[in-house]
Amino acid sequence: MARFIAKRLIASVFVMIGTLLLVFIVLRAAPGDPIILLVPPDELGGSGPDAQFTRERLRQELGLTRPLYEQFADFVVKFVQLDFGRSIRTNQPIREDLLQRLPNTLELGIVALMISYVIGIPAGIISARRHNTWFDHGSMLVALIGVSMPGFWLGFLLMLLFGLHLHWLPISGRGGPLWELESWRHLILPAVTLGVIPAALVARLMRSGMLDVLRQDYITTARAKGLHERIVVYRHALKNALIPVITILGIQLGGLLSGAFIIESVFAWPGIGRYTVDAISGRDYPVVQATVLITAFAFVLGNLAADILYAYVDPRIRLE
Amino acid sequence: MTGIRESQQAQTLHVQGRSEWYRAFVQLRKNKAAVISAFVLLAIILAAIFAPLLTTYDPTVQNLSERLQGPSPQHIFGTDRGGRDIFSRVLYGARVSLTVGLLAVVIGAAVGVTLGLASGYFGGLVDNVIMRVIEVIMAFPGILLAILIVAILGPGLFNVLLALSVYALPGMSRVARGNTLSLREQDFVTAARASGVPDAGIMFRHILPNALAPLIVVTTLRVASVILSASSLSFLGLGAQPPTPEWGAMISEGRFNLYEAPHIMFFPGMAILLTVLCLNFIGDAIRDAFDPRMRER
Repeated sequence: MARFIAKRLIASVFVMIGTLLLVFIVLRAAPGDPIILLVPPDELGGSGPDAQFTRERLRQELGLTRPLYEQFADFVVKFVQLDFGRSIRTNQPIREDLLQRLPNTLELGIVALMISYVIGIPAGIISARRHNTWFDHGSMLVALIGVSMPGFWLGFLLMLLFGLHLHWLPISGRGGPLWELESWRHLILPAVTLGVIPAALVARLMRSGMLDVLRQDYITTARAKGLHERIVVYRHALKNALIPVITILGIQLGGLLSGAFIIESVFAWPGIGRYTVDAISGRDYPVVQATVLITAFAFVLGNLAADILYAYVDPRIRLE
Repeated sequence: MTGIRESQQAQTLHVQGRSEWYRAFVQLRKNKAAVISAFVLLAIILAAIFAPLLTTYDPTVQNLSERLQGPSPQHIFGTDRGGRDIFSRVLYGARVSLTVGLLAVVIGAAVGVTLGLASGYFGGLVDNVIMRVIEVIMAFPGILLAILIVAILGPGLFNVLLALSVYALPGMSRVARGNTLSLREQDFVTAARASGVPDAGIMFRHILPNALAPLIVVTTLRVASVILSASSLSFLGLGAQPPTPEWGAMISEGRFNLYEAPHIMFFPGMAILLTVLCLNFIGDAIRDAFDPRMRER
């Protein structure tokens, strides 16, 4: 097990260096001068005769005249030190902004993940037990519809129904600190919107996992012993049927993270997703670079955790 | 005696080879959801092609005296903030969404499948390098890398197409690689190699046709997810620029009048849902049709 973890950990570090390299290359490959992407426009010195001089000085300061490998090493070191530079629009250190917004995104993501399991697992189990009944067909149709619509569109529909027409729930913002009830009311719509697609994925996988397991010999044995169907399903079958659901934990995390970028802007949720989207429209490249990289790192680490969990529950994996 | 047995074997093999596709087709035809989806999708494609004949209003011309109208006999889907006919815009929008979805997947598949074939066929260093690059691309969840690429290159449909091709690439190459790994060990590949067929010929003429079924499945499902992703990019203001009719951009525009004119965002959203749902139904059905385990169910 330790060897498995070590191997996966090393692979993850290489992937993270790769992501840094890719982002580094994309910026350098972009048409035009990289300092236009990295420096606020009013510090570039406009288009006057001094502009050339100012830009040359900035290029020196930012190290853009040094060899590329040195620039990359510098980029990696700064990133590891959590120095993401300053925002072009606000001139604030990006790290401060991120620290402020990250907890909001985490909160939204965790609640959405829980929603996806609370809906997806029971729906999948019941569908499998009532294989080929109207419940099975109906819930699978709903699940397929769930993965076939744009999340932001669902967000608007929910907002329209529960916020604007029924006035049950607030439609935007954070509402207050975590420990206040009001903030939870604000959380419901974005979290449900974000959780629907993963819930549909979980339900589909739970169902097919359960169907596969229920056909196996040890289940027949358990039934032949005269065990109650409920015990057969929930004690014997569920454990093994859950394995595929665990394997997509990483994929789900990815869906949640990238979904948050969009859903947060629908509901004006003050997390890193909305921060990024605002930065994109403001051409605030350093912010986009920082949040994209941090999200990719979170995704890689989440996948690593999911792999380890997977190997832990299914010994066949770590023996390979 | 052995000659007859061999030719019989060859015959059954041949029939099996053909009937694999035939059986899948028969299976597919029995799947009602897939058949209906195929017809709906065909209707959407035809509507996109013949949009100028099916609509009476220009999708981009404003008519401020008719702004924010609900659905009516004149404008069956209503009008938007600029008084433009939403039905026209949804139909013309199908052109954009379907083109972007198909082109991005075709480009992604062309590059991805070639990389996957090479990776699986040559193995060793080639495999290692290609797979590490794919892993790095996959380290960016969902459309994040696409967001980054378009954010740097600037908004616009061409850059979206480029970014989504990169997005479609890893899935295609992994499926191609996985199938190549098992196919390259088979006798017909060894036979081809022994008779001097060059590597590229083996990869594209012998291995690729045998890996086609799983690739068709991923392609179909990828077109679905690329259409969704393209709409998300447009929603973020990175895709088609107004007044180009594009479904995601139309939903984005509708948010300003969500309460008084919900139809602005409703109909383009339904168009996305319907298109993607059909593609998902068809993709799932093709997968099931080729999966021998599913036939018994």
